[in-house]
Amino acid sequence: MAKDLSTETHAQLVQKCIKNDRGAQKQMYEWLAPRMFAVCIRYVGERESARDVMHDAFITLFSKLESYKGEGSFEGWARRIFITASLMHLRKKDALKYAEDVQTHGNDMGYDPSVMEKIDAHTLLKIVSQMPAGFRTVFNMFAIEGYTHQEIAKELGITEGGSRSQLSRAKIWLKEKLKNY
Amino acid sequence: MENREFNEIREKLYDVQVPVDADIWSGIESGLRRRRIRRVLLYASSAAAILIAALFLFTANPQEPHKSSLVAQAQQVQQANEKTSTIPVTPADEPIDAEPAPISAHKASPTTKGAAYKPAAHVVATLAATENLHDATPTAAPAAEIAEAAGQNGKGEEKPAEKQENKNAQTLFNLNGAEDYVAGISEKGKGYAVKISSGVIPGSSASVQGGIIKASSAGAGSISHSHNIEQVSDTKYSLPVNLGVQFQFPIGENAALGVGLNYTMLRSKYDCLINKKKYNIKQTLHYIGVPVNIYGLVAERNNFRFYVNGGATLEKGIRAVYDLKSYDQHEHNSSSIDGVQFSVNAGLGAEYLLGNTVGLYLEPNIVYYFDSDVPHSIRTDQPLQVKAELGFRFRF
Repeated sequence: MAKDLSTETHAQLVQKCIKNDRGAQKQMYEWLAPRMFAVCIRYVGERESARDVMHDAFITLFSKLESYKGEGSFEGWARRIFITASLMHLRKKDALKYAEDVQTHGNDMGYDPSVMEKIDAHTLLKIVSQMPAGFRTVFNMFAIEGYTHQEIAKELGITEGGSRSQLSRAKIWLKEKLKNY
Repeated sequence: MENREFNEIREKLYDVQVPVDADIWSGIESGLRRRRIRRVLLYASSAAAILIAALFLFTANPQEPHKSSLVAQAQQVQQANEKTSTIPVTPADEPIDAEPAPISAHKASPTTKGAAYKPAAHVVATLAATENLHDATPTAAPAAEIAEAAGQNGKGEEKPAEKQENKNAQTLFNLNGAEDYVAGISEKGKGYAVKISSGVIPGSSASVQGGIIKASSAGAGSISHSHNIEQVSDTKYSLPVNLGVQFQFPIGENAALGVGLNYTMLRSKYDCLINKKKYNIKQTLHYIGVPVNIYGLVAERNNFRFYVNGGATLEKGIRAVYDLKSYDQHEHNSSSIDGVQFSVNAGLGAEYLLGNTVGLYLEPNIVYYFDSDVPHSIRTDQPLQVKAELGFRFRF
Protein backbone atom coordinates (compact mmCIF):
# COMPACT_ATOMS: atom_id res chain seq x y z
CA MET A 1 0.00 0.00 0.00
CA ALA A 2 1.04 3.59 -0.49
CA LYS A 3 3.43 5.16 1.96
CA ASP A 4 2.30 8.45 3.42
CA LEU A 5 4.76 11.28 3.20
CA SER A 6 4.83 14.61 4.98
CA THR A 7 4.55 17.82 2.97
CA GLU A 8 8.20 18.59 3.62
CA THR A 9 9.21 15.18 2.38
CA HIS A 10 7.08 15.73 -0.73
CA ALA A 11 9.06 18.83 -1.60
CA GLN A 12 12.39 17.10 -1.02
CA LEU A 13 11.29 14.08 -2.98
CA VAL A 14 10.15 16.23 -5.90
CA GLN A 15 13.49 18.04 -5.97
CA LYS A 16 15.41 14.78 -5.96
CA CYS A 17 13.22 13.37 -8.72
CA ILE A 18 13.85 16.49 -10.82
CA LYS A 19 17.56 15.74 -10.51
CA ASN A 20 16.87 12.27 -11.89
CA ASP A 21 17.65 10.56 -8.61
CA ARG A 22 16.44 7.06 -9.42
CA GLY A 23 16.02 6.12 -5.77
CA ALA A 24 13.76 9.10 -5.17
CA GLN A 25 11.79 8.31 -8.31
CA LYS A 26 11.18 4.81 -7.05
CA GLN A 27 10.11 6.18 -3.69
CA MET A 28 7.63 8.48 -5.39
CA TYR A 29 6.39 5.59 -7.50
CA GLU A 30 5.80 3.44 -4.42
CA TRP A 31 3.94 6.27 -2.79
CA LEU A 32 1.67 7.12 -5.71
CA ALA A 33 1.31 3.89 -7.66
CA PRO A 34 -1.43 2.06 -5.68
CA ARG A 35 -3.78 5.07 -5.72
CA MET A 36 -2.98 6.00 -9.32
CA PHE A 37 -3.38 2.43 -10.48
CA ALA A 38 -6.92 2.52 -9.10
CA VAL A 39 -7.54 5.76 -10.99
CA CYS A 40 -6.31 4.19 -14.23
CA ILE A 41 -8.43 1.07 -13.74
CA ARG A 42 -11.46 3.22 -12.99
CA TYR A 43 -11.03 5.11 -16.27
CA VAL A 44 -9.80 2.51 -18.73
CA GLY A 45 -11.62 -0.47 -17.29
CA GLU A 46 -9.11 -3.26 -17.87
CA ARG A 47 -6.17 -3.99 -15.64
CA GLU A 48 -3.79 -4.66 -18.55
CA SER A 49 -4.61 -1.36 -20.22
CA ALA A 50 -4.34 0.37 -16.86
CA ARG A 51 -0.78 -0.97 -16.53
CA ASP A 52 0.18 0.56 -19.87
CA VAL A 53 -1.45 3.86 -18.98
CA MET A 54 0.26 3.97 -15.61
CA HIS A 55 3.64 3.26 -17.22
CA ASP A 56 3.23 6.16 -19.67
CA ALA A 57 1.77 8.45 -17.02
CA PHE A 58 4.69 7.93 -14.62
CA ILE A 59 7.21 8.74 -17.35
CA THR A 60 5.21 11.89 -18.16
CA LEU A 61 5.03 12.77 -14.47
CA PHE A 62 8.80 12.48 -13.96
CA SER A 63 9.50 14.55 -17.03
CA LYS A 64 7.04 17.26 -16.04
CA LEU A 65 7.93 17.55 -12.38
CA GLU A 66 9.64 20.87 -12.94
CA SER A 67 6.33 22.40 -13.94
CA TYR A 68 4.86 21.64 -10.50
CA LYS A 69 5.05 25.00 -8.76
CA GLY A 70 4.15 23.74 -5.31
CA GLU A 71 0.68 25.26 -5.49
CA GLY A 72 -2.01 22.88 -4.30
CA SER A 73 -1.53 19.28 -3.34
CA PHE A 74 1.10 17.35 -5.22
CA GLU A 75 -1.11 14.30 -5.32
CA GLY A 76 -3.89 16.31 -6.95
CA TRP A 77 -1.44 17.57 -9.56
CA ALA A 78 -0.18 14.04 -10.18
CA ARG A 79 -3.74 12.69 -10.39
CA ARG A 80 -4.50 15.02 -13.29
CA ILE A 81 -1.58 13.54 -15.23
CA PHE A 82 -2.95 10.03 -14.74
CA ILE A 83 -6.47 11.10 -15.70
CA THR A 84 -5.16 12.83 -18.84
CA ALA A 85 -3.13 9.73 -19.75
CA SER A 86 -6.22 7.58 -19.28
CA LEU A 87 -8.32 9.86 -21.48
CA MET A 88 -5.62 9.78 -24.17
CA HIS A 89 -5.68 6.01 -24.07
CA LEU A 90 -9.45 5.98 -24.46
CA ARG A 91 -9.26 8.44 -27.36
CA LYS A 92 -6.72 6.24 -29.11
CA LYS A 93 -9.07 3.32 -28.74
CA ASP A 94 -11.91 5.46 -30.04
CA ALA A 95 -13.77 4.75 -26.84
CA LEU A 96 -14.96 8.30 -26.28
CA LYS A 97 -17.53 8.44 -29.03
CA TYR A 98 -20.77 9.51 -27.53
CA ALA A 99 -24.30 8.79 -28.44
CA GLU A 100 -26.70 11.60 -29.02
CA ASP A 101 -28.00 13.47 -26.04
CA VAL A 102 -30.66 11.62 -24.18
CA GLN A 103 -33.30 12.81 -21.81
CA THR A 104 -31.98 13.12 -18.30
CA HIS A 105 -33.87 10.83 -15.94
CA GLY A 106 -33.64 13.01 -12.90
CA ASN A 107 -30.80 13.37 -10.51
CA ASP A 108 -31.58 10.61 -8.09
CA MET A 109 -29.92 7.29 -8.87
CA GLY A 110 -32.62 5.73 -6.72
CA TYR A 111 -30.66 2.81 -5.33
CA ASP A 112 -31.16 1.44 -1.85
CA PRO A 113 -29.07 3.63 0.50
CA SER A 114 -28.00 0.59 2.49
CA VAL A 115 -26.22 -0.78 -0.57
CA MET A 116 -23.36 1.64 -0.12
CA GLU A 117 -22.86 0.46 3.41
CA LYS A 118 -22.72 -3.14 2.32
CA ILE A 119 -20.50 -2.76 -0.71
CA ASP A 120 -16.76 -2.37 -0.27
CA ALA A 121 -14.53 -0.02 -2.26
CA HIS A 122 -12.91 -2.72 -4.40
CA THR A 123 -16.23 -4.18 -5.43
CA LEU A 124 -17.54 -0.74 -6.29
CA LEU A 125 -14.38 -0.09 -8.29
CA LYS A 126 -14.91 -3.32 -10.18
CA ILE A 127 -18.51 -2.36 -10.97
CA VAL A 128 -17.55 1.12 -12.16
CA SER A 129 -14.71 -0.23 -14.30
CA GLN A 130 -17.20 -2.48 -16.08
CA MET A 131 -19.34 0.47 -17.11
CA PRO A 132 -19.26 1.29 -20.87
CA ALA A 133 -16.40 3.69 -21.61
CA GLY A 134 -18.53 6.67 -22.60
CA PHE A 135 -20.63 6.65 -19.43
CA ARG A 136 -17.72 5.68 -17.29
CA THR A 137 -15.53 8.60 -18.28
CA VAL A 138 -18.16 11.24 -17.56
CA PHE A 139 -19.19 9.46 -14.39
CA ASN A 140 -15.64 9.30 -13.10
CA MET A 141 -14.93 12.90 -13.92
CA PHE A 142 -18.17 14.23 -12.47
CA ALA A 143 -18.87 11.93 -9.55
CA ILE A 144 -15.38 11.07 -8.32
CA GLU A 145 -13.08 13.85 -9.47
CA GLY A 146 -15.63 16.61 -9.09
CA TYR A 147 -15.35 18.19 -12.55
CA THR A 148 -18.27 20.35 -13.68
CA HIS A 149 -20.16 19.53 -16.89
CA GLN A 150 -18.53 22.57 -18.46
CA GLU A 151 -15.05 21.28 -17.62
CA ILE A 152 -15.94 17.78 -18.81
CA ALA A 153 -17.32 19.16 -22.05
CA LYS A 154 -14.13 21.11 -22.65
CA GLU A 155 -11.88 18.21 -21.74
CA LEU A 156 -13.69 15.66 -23.87
CA GLY A 157 -14.66 17.94 -26.72
CA ILE A 158 -18.40 17.39 -26.27
CA THR A 159 -21.31 19.62 -25.35
CA GLU A 160 -22.41 20.17 -21.78
CA GLY A 161 -25.70 18.50 -22.74
CA GLY A 162 -23.76 15.50 -23.98
CA SER A 163 -21.93 15.32 -20.67
CA ARG A 164 -25.20 15.45 -18.73
CA SER A 165 -26.78 12.76 -20.86
CA GLN A 166 -23.80 10.47 -20.42
CA LEU A 167 -23.97 10.95 -16.68
CA SER A 168 -27.65 10.15 -16.77
CA ARG A 169 -26.96 6.92 -18.61
CA ALA A 170 -24.23 6.07 -16.13
CA LYS A 171 -26.61 6.51 -13.23
CA ILE A 172 -29.20 4.26 -14.83
CA TRP A 173 -26.57 1.66 -15.57
CA LEU A 174 -25.18 1.81 -12.04
CA LYS A 175 -28.61 1.61 -10.46
CA GLU A 176 -29.25 -1.61 -12.36
CA LYS A 177 -25.94 -3.08 -11.25
CA LEU A 178 -26.40 -2.12 -7.61
CA LYS A 179 -29.73 -3.93 -7.46
CA ASN A 180 -27.81 -7.15 -7.23
CA TYR A 181 -26.17 -6.16 -3.96
CA MET B 1 -29.97 13.48 -3.40
CA GLU B 2 -27.47 13.34 -6.20
CA ASN B 3 -24.82 14.93 -4.05
CA ARG B 4 -25.36 12.48 -1.23
CA GLU B 5 -25.11 9.46 -3.53
CA PHE B 6 -22.11 10.79 -5.35
CA ASN B 7 -20.43 11.71 -2.08
CA GLU B 8 -20.80 8.14 -0.89
CA ILE B 9 -19.29 6.81 -4.09
CA ARG B 10 -16.53 9.44 -4.03
CA GLU B 11 -15.62 8.58 -0.44
CA LYS B 12 -15.23 4.94 -1.36
CA LEU B 13 -13.43 5.34 -4.67
CA TYR B 14 -11.33 8.51 -4.45
CA ASP B 15 -8.57 7.07 -2.30
CA VAL B 16 -8.99 3.41 -3.08
CA GLN B 17 -5.68 1.65 -3.57
CA VAL B 18 -4.97 -1.31 -5.78
CA PRO B 19 -1.83 -3.43 -5.33
CA VAL B 20 0.54 -2.88 -8.21
CA ASP B 21 2.31 -5.61 -10.14
CA ALA B 22 5.99 -5.76 -9.22
CA ASP B 23 7.26 -5.55 -12.79
CA ILE B 24 5.66 -2.18 -13.59
CA TRP B 25 8.48 -0.22 -11.97
CA SER B 26 11.18 -1.96 -14.00
CA GLY B 27 9.27 -1.04 -17.16
CA ILE B 28 9.03 2.59 -16.03
CA GLU B 29 12.72 2.62 -15.13
CA SER B 30 13.79 1.36 -18.55
CA GLY B 31 11.36 3.80 -20.16
CA LEU B 32 12.99 6.68 -18.29
CA ARG B 33 16.41 5.46 -19.40
CA ARG B 34 15.34 5.19 -23.04
CA ARG B 35 13.77 8.62 -22.89
CA ARG B 36 16.99 10.08 -21.55
CA ILE B 37 19.08 8.44 -24.25
CA ARG B 38 16.67 9.77 -26.87
CA ARG B 39 17.11 13.27 -25.48
CA VAL B 40 20.87 12.91 -25.45
CA LEU B 41 20.79 11.77 -29.08
CA LEU B 42 18.47 14.63 -29.98
CA TYR B 43 20.76 17.20 -28.40
CA ALA B 44 23.81 15.52 -29.92
CA SER B 45 22.33 15.47 -33.41
CA SER B 46 21.23 19.08 -33.09
CA ALA B 47 24.70 20.02 -31.94
CA ALA B 48 26.29 18.03 -34.74
CA ALA B 49 24.03 19.76 -37.26
CA ILE B 50 25.02 23.17 -35.87
CA LEU B 51 28.67 22.15 -35.92
CA ILE B 52 28.51 20.94 -39.50
CA ALA B 53 26.68 24.09 -40.57
CA ALA B 54 29.24 26.25 -38.79
CA LEU B 55 32.13 24.34 -40.33
CA PHE B 56 30.58 24.71 -43.73
CA LEU B 57 30.18 28.45 -43.23
CA PHE B 58 33.68 28.95 -41.89
CA THR B 59 35.47 26.78 -44.41
CA ALA B 60 33.54 27.87 -47.47
CA ASN B 61 35.67 29.94 -49.83
CA PRO B 62 33.55 32.87 -50.95
CA GLN B 63 36.19 34.10 -53.39
CA GLU B 64 36.78 30.90 -55.27
CA PRO B 65 36.03 32.47 -58.68
CA HIS B 66 38.58 35.19 -57.99
CA LYS B 67 41.20 32.61 -57.10
CA SER B 68 40.45 30.70 -60.25
CA SER B 69 41.01 33.74 -62.38
CA LEU B 70 44.36 34.41 -60.75
CA VAL B 71 45.45 30.83 -61.17
CA ALA B 72 44.38 30.99 -64.80
CA GLN B 73 46.40 34.17 -65.19
CA ALA B 74 49.39 32.43 -63.67
CA GLN B 75 49.10 29.57 -66.09
CA GLN B 76 48.77 31.95 -69.03
CA VAL B 77 51.84 33.85 -67.93
CA GLN B 78 53.75 30.64 -67.45
CA GLN B 79 52.93 29.59 -70.97
CA ALA B 80 53.98 33.00 -72.24
CA ASN B 81 57.21 32.80 -70.24
CA GLU B 82 58.04 29.38 -71.60
CA LYS B 83 57.59 30.62 -75.15
CA THR B 84 59.74 33.72 -74.60
CA SER B 85 62.34 31.98 -72.40
CA THR B 86 61.76 34.39 -69.57
CA ILE B 87 61.63 33.34 -65.95
CA PRO B 88 59.21 30.44 -65.67
CA VAL B 89 57.00 30.04 -62.69
CA THR B 90 56.19 26.88 -60.83
CA PRO B 91 52.71 25.80 -61.82
CA ALA B 92 50.36 26.37 -58.97
CA ASP B 93 49.26 22.79 -58.74
CA GLU B 94 52.65 21.13 -59.01
CA PRO B 95 54.80 20.16 -56.04
CA ILE B 96 57.21 22.91 -55.28
CA ASP B 97 60.28 20.90 -56.00
CA ALA B 98 58.99 19.76 -59.33
CA GLU B 99 61.12 20.65 -62.36
CA PRO B 100 61.50 23.08 -63.89
CA ALA B 101 61.52 25.56 -61.03
CA PRO B 102 64.11 28.16 -61.77
CA ILE B 103 63.05 30.46 -58.99
CA SER B 104 65.07 28.82 -56.26
CA ALA B 105 62.95 30.34 -53.56
CA HIS B 106 60.18 28.05 -54.64
CA LYS B 107 62.17 24.98 -53.72
CA ALA B 108 61.42 23.31 -50.48
CA SER B 109 63.62 24.14 -47.59
CA PRO B 110 65.79 21.28 -46.31
CA THR B 111 64.23 21.82 -42.95
CA THR B 112 60.73 21.24 -44.17
CA LYS B 113 59.17 17.83 -43.98
CA GLY B 114 58.10 16.31 -47.26
CA ALA B 115 55.92 18.37 -49.54
CA ALA B 116 54.21 20.09 -46.71
CA TYR B 117 54.89 23.51 -48.16
CA LYS B 118 53.12 22.91 -51.38
CA PRO B 119 50.17 25.18 -50.51
CA ALA B 120 52.53 27.99 -49.63
CA ALA B 121 54.33 27.43 -52.90
CA HIS B 122 50.99 27.59 -54.55
CA VAL B 123 50.47 31.02 -53.08
CA VAL B 124 53.91 32.19 -54.11
CA ALA B 125 53.68 30.79 -57.60
CA THR B 126 50.34 32.39 -58.17
CA LEU B 127 51.47 35.72 -56.85
CA ALA B 128 54.71 35.66 -58.79
CA ALA B 129 52.95 34.79 -61.97
CA THR B 130 50.39 37.50 -61.47
CA GLU B 131 53.16 39.97 -60.88
CA ASN B 132 54.70 38.94 -64.13
CA LEU B 133 51.44 39.70 -65.78
CA HIS B 134 51.59 43.22 -64.44
CA ASP B 135 55.27 43.61 -65.13
CA ALA B 136 55.83 42.47 -68.67
CA THR B 137 59.63 42.55 -68.55
CA PRO B 138 60.84 40.55 -65.64
CA THR B 139 64.54 40.76 -65.03
CA ALA B 140 67.02 38.39 -63.51
CA ALA B 141 67.62 40.64 -60.54
CA PRO B 142 64.58 39.63 -58.52
CA ALA B 143 65.38 35.99 -59.11
CA ALA B 144 68.91 36.52 -57.90
CA GLU B 145 67.66 38.30 -54.84
CA ILE B 146 65.21 35.57 -54.23
CA ALA B 147 67.94 32.98 -54.56
CA GLU B 148 70.06 34.95 -52.15
CA ALA B 149 67.25 35.19 -49.69
CA ALA B 150 66.62 31.50 -49.98
CA GLY B 151 70.28 30.79 -49.44
CA GLN B 152 70.26 32.79 -46.26
CA ASN B 153 67.26 31.14 -44.87
CA GLY B 154 67.19 27.79 -46.48
CA LYS B 155 69.08 26.04 -43.71
CA GLY B 156 66.23 26.49 -41.38
CA GLU B 157 68.17 28.73 -39.04
CA GLU B 158 66.17 31.42 -37.47
CA LYS B 159 67.19 35.00 -37.83
CA PRO B 160 67.49 36.97 -34.62
CA ALA B 161 64.17 38.52 -35.37
CA GLU B 162 62.65 35.09 -35.54
CA LYS B 163 63.77 34.33 -32.03
CA GLN B 164 62.08 37.32 -30.59
CA GLU B 165 59.83 36.34 -27.82
CA ASN B 166 56.23 37.21 -27.76
CA LYS B 167 56.65 40.24 -25.59
CA ASN B 168 53.06 41.20 -25.76
CA ALA B 169 51.79 37.83 -24.85
CA GLN B 170 48.60 38.23 -23.00
CA THR B 171 46.31 35.91 -21.20
CA LEU B 172 44.00 34.30 -23.63
CA PHE B 173 40.51 34.52 -22.38
CA ASN B 174 38.26 32.10 -24.07
CA LEU B 175 34.93 33.69 -23.30
CA ASN B 176 32.39 31.34 -24.62
CA GLY B 177 29.00 32.88 -25.00
CA ALA B 178 28.00 29.34 -24.74
CA GLU B 179 25.15 26.96 -24.56
CA ASP B 180 25.88 23.94 -22.48
CA TYR B 181 23.92 20.84 -21.72
CA VAL B 182 25.53 19.09 -18.81
CA ALA B 183 24.20 16.66 -16.32
CA GLY B 184 27.12 14.57 -15.14
CA ILE B 185 28.55 16.55 -12.30
CA SER B 186 25.44 18.28 -11.22
CA GLU B 187 23.81 14.95 -10.83
CA LYS B 188 26.75 13.69 -8.88
CA GLY B 189 27.84 11.43 -11.64
CA LYS B 190 24.48 9.88 -12.28
CA GLY B 191 23.16 9.59 -15.80
CA TYR B 192 24.42 10.77 -19.17
CA ALA B 193 24.93 14.26 -20.39
CA VAL B 194 25.60 16.29 -23.45
CA LYS B 195 27.47 19.55 -23.34
CA ILE B 196 27.25 21.93 -26.20
CA SER B 197 29.31 25.05 -26.27
CA SER B 198 29.57 27.74 -28.83
CA GLY B 199 30.71 31.28 -28.97
CA VAL B 200 32.17 34.04 -31.02
CA ILE B 201 35.11 35.70 -29.38
CA PRO B 202 35.90 39.20 -30.53
CA GLY B 203 39.06 41.25 -30.27
CA SER B 204 42.72 40.44 -30.45
CA SER B 205 44.65 38.85 -27.66
CA ALA B 206 48.32 38.89 -28.47
CA SER B 207 50.88 39.98 -30.96
CA VAL B 208 54.26 38.75 -32.09
CA GLN B 209 57.10 40.98 -33.10
CA GLY B 210 57.78 41.35 -36.77
CA GLY B 211 60.37 39.38 -38.65
CA ILE B 212 60.56 36.49 -40.98
CA ILE B 213 58.00 33.91 -40.15
CA LYS B 214 59.51 30.95 -38.40
CA ALA B 215 59.54 27.84 -40.53
CA SER B 216 57.32 25.49 -38.72
CA SER B 217 58.03 22.02 -39.90
CA ALA B 218 55.41 20.48 -42.12
CA GLY B 219 53.27 23.52 -41.60
CA ALA B 220 51.11 23.10 -44.59
CA GLY B 221 49.18 26.18 -43.76
CA SER B 222 52.13 28.28 -42.72
CA ILE B 223 54.23 30.36 -45.01
CA SER B 224 57.89 29.57 -44.83
CA HIS B 225 60.81 31.92 -45.22
CA SER B 226 62.13 29.46 -47.75
CA HIS B 227 59.69 31.05 -50.12
CA ASN B 228 61.19 34.46 -49.57
CA ILE B 229 58.24 35.71 -47.65
CA GLU B 230 59.44 38.18 -45.12
CA GLN B 231 57.18 39.28 -42.35
CA VAL B 232 57.41 43.00 -41.86
CA SER B 233 54.85 43.57 -39.15
CA ASP B 234 53.68 42.17 -35.85
CA THR B 235 51.35 39.22 -36.00
CA LYS B 236 48.02 40.10 -34.52
CA TYR B 237 46.02 37.21 -33.22
CA SER B 238 42.28 37.23 -32.82
CA LEU B 239 40.70 35.24 -30.03
CA PRO B 240 39.50 31.82 -31.11
CA VAL B 241 35.97 30.87 -32.06
CA ASN B 242 34.82 27.63 -30.50
CA LEU B 243 31.93 25.32 -31.20
CA GLY B 244 31.60 21.97 -29.58
CA VAL B 245 29.58 19.10 -28.29
CA GLN B 246 30.52 17.01 -25.31
CA PHE B 247 29.06 13.89 -23.80
CA GLN B 248 29.51 13.29 -20.11
CA PHE B 249 29.33 9.87 -18.57
CA PRO B 250 29.24 9.21 -14.85
CA ILE B 251 32.28 7.38 -13.52
CA GLY B 252 31.45 7.56 -9.85
CA GLU B 253 29.31 9.30 -7.29
CA ASN B 254 31.00 12.69 -7.78
CA ALA B 255 32.85 12.34 -11.04
CA ALA B 256 32.14 12.34 -14.73
CA LEU B 257 34.10 11.66 -17.89
CA GLY B 258 33.56 14.09 -20.74
CA VAL B 259 34.35 13.21 -24.34
CA GLY B 260 33.54 15.62 -27.08
CA LEU B 261 34.12 17.10 -30.47
CA ASN B 262 35.29 20.70 -30.78
CA TYR B 263 35.78 23.07 -33.63
CA THR B 264 38.26 25.92 -33.25
CA MET B 265 39.06 28.77 -35.58
CA LEU B 266 42.36 30.61 -35.10
CA ARG B 267 42.83 33.87 -36.93
CA SER B 268 45.84 36.09 -37.33
CA LYS B 269 47.04 38.82 -39.64
CA TYR B 270 50.40 40.26 -40.55
CA ASP B 271 52.17 42.07 -43.35
CA CYS B 272 54.70 40.35 -45.58
CA LEU B 273 57.01 41.18 -48.39
CA ILE B 274 56.67 38.67 -51.16
CA ASN B 275 59.14 39.31 -53.94
CA LYS B 276 59.55 42.82 -52.57
CA LYS B 277 55.88 43.47 -52.79
CA LYS B 278 53.97 44.13 -49.60
CA TYR B 279 50.98 41.97 -48.82
CA ASN B 280 48.58 42.04 -45.94
CA ILE B 281 47.92 38.41 -45.05
CA LYS B 282 45.00 37.17 -43.05
CA GLN B 283 45.47 33.60 -41.93
CA THR B 284 42.58 31.45 -40.70
CA LEU B 285 43.15 27.97 -39.36
CA HIS B 286 40.31 25.54 -38.78
CA TYR B 287 40.73 22.72 -36.30
CA ILE B 288 38.60 19.80 -35.20
CA GLY B 289 39.47 18.39 -31.81
CA VAL B 290 38.51 15.61 -29.48
CA PRO B 291 38.71 16.75 -25.85
CA VAL B 292 38.68 14.18 -23.06
CA ASN B 293 38.18 15.55 -19.56
CA ILE B 294 37.49 14.27 -16.09
CA TYR B 295 35.31 16.38 -13.82
CA GLY B 296 35.19 15.98 -10.07
CA LEU B 297 32.70 17.66 -7.77
CA VAL B 298 34.49 19.31 -4.85
CA ALA B 299 31.74 21.07 -2.93
CA GLU B 300 28.13 22.13 -3.10
CA ARG B 301 26.89 25.07 -1.08
CA ASN B 302 23.49 26.66 -1.48
CA ASN B 303 23.18 27.35 -5.17
CA PHE B 304 26.90 27.04 -5.86
CA ARG B 305 28.84 24.05 -7.07
CA PHE B 306 32.61 23.85 -7.24
CA TYR B 307 34.53 21.31 -9.22
CA VAL B 308 37.91 20.52 -10.71
CA ASN B 309 38.62 19.28 -14.17
CA GLY B 310 41.56 18.06 -16.16
CA GLY B 311 42.19 16.39 -19.45
CA ALA B 312 43.69 16.47 -22.89
CA THR B 313 42.67 17.42 -26.40
CA LEU B 314 43.85 16.09 -29.72
CA GLU B 315 43.18 18.43 -32.62
CA LYS B 316 43.53 17.98 -36.34
CA GLY B 317 43.83 20.94 -38.63
CA ILE B 318 41.31 20.68 -41.40
CA ARG B 319 41.92 23.81 -43.42
CA ALA B 320 44.21 26.81 -43.61
CA VAL B 321 42.81 29.79 -45.44
CA TYR B 322 44.89 32.77 -46.55
CA ASP B 323 43.64 36.09 -47.71
CA LEU B 324 46.44 38.09 -49.34
CA LYS B 325 45.99 41.71 -50.29
CA SER B 326 48.35 44.12 -51.92
CA TYR B 327 47.68 47.55 -53.35
CA ASP B 328 46.67 46.04 -56.67
CA GLN B 329 45.95 42.40 -55.96
CA HIS B 330 43.69 40.25 -53.86
CA GLU B 331 44.28 36.53 -53.60
CA HIS B 332 42.32 33.97 -51.62
CA ASN B 333 43.89 30.63 -51.03
CA SER B 334 43.36 27.58 -48.93
CA SER B 335 45.08 24.30 -48.24
CA SER B 336 44.86 21.28 -46.02
CA ILE B 337 46.85 21.12 -42.79
CA ASP B 338 49.16 18.27 -41.89
CA GLY B 339 50.00 17.30 -38.33
CA VAL B 340 48.01 17.19 -35.14
CA GLN B 341 47.97 19.42 -32.09
CA PHE B 342 48.02 17.83 -28.66
CA SER B 343 47.29 19.83 -25.54
CA VAL B 344 46.62 19.21 -21.87
CA ASN B 345 44.50 21.28 -19.55
CA ALA B 346 43.59 21.52 -15.89
CA GLY B 347 41.42 23.92 -14.00
CA LEU B 348 38.64 24.76 -11.62
CA GLY B 349 34.99 25.42 -12.18
CA ALA B 350 32.26 27.20 -10.30
CA GLU B 351 28.62 27.10 -11.19
CA TYR B 352 25.70 29.12 -9.90
CA LEU B 353 22.36 27.41 -10.30
CA LEU B 354 19.80 29.80 -11.73
CA GLY B 355 17.07 27.20 -11.55
CA ASN B 356 16.57 23.49 -11.61
CA THR B 357 17.83 23.11 -15.14
CA VAL B 358 20.04 26.10 -15.81
CA GLY B 359 23.36 27.10 -14.31
CA LEU B 360 25.84 29.85 -15.02
CA TYR B 361 29.41 28.63 -14.85
CA LEU B 362 32.93 29.97 -14.97
CA GLU B 363 35.74 27.54 -15.75
CA PRO B 364 39.29 28.90 -15.68
CA ASN B 365 41.82 26.46 -17.12
CA ILE B 366 45.52 26.34 -17.83
CA VAL B 367 46.25 24.84 -21.23
CA TYR B 368 49.56 23.72 -22.61
CA TYR B 369 49.92 23.19 -26.36
CA PHE B 370 52.71 20.77 -27.22
CA ASP B 371 55.08 21.52 -30.05
CA SER B 372 53.87 19.80 -33.17
CA ASP B 373 53.77 19.95 -36.94
CA VAL B 374 51.02 22.50 -37.17
CA PRO B 375 51.05 25.94 -38.73
CA HIS B 376 52.38 28.97 -36.93
CA SER B 377 49.70 30.39 -34.65
CA ILE B 378 49.10 31.80 -31.18
CA ARG B 379 49.54 28.26 -29.93
CA THR B 380 53.04 27.89 -31.34
CA ASP B 381 54.03 31.35 -30.10
CA GLN B 382 52.49 31.00 -26.69
CA PRO B 383 52.10 27.33 -25.78
CA LEU B 384 51.07 27.94 -22.18
CA GLN B 385 47.79 29.77 -21.99
CA VAL B 386 45.15 30.55 -19.44
CA LYS B 387 41.62 30.46 -20.64
CA ALA B 388 38.37 31.13 -18.85
CA GLU B 389 35.20 29.65 -20.16
CA LEU B 390 31.97 31.37 -19.23
CA GLY B 391 28.66 29.86 -20.17
CA PHE B 392 25.37 28.28 -19.28
CA ARG B 393 24.58 24.68 -18.48
CA PHE B 394 21.27 23.06 -19.20
CA ARG B 395 20.49 19.83 -17.42
CA PHE B 396 18.12 17.15 -18.49
